[in-house]
Amino acid sequence: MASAELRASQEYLGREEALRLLGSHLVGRIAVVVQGWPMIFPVNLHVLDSDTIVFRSEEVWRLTNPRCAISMALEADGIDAAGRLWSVVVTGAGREIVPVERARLRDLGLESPAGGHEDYWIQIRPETVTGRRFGWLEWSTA
Amino acid sequence: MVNGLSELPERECLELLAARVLGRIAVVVEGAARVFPVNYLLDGQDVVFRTDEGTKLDAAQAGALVTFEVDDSDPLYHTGWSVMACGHLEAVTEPHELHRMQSLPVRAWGREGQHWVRMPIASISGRRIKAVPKAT
Repeated sequence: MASAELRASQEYLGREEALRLLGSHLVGRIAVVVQGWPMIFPVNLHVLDSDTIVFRSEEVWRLTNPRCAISMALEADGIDAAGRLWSVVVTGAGREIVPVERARLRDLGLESPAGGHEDYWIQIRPETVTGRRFGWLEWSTA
Repeated sequence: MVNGLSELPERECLELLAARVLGRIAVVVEGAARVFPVNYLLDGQDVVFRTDEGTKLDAAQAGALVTFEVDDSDPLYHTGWSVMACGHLEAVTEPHELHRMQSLPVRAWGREGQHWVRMPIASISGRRIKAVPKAT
């Protein structure tokens, strides 16, 4: 049987760098509590103004009703140009992006390429940002 | 195609879960969702992974209801899938089970991963997303 072992050094990232990594990445996962249950949904995300995360999700919208601020967590991970693994976790209140603010998203080219639905845009202002970066992956096969 | 989403049958969900090693786990802490990346293995019908002292181990010792998610996507083509499994997290403490799990090829993210936890799958669902034709 093949086995892989990660001998990694773990480095915590500052808020700015963590959000920068997040901004370089397209896909994340949103976790929300729905009637006491934790649920996770993959989303396409964008970071605006260095510190506001925006995404569009009909499912998250329907399940949480973000017209009121809803507690959300976001996770994204990837591999940077140097081959190091990173992960960023953000928590904060998610709320709807009202139509007047959506005009700005259109200017930034963030509206859905599919067109049609303009709804379901949600933004998170991060309260906590935890970023970690791991050293080289060392795979061993036995 | 209405929105490009299709439900995956349970068997395909389990196959996708079995074929991956990196997932995310969501737990509820004081009413709010927390989410963590974990390296895992599907051991029969259980998702198993390693962890240290902290939120995940606390959740396991409390038998908390958690959700485990695995996905893959191709942003270029707007395609992908995701599988979500729910169950109660358990700390593995039986010596025989621990011994068996320690031989499994599972590594922890970053730190040691001194403790083994498992989530017997109580329910599972999955979706596949196909490209939505572009409006012209």
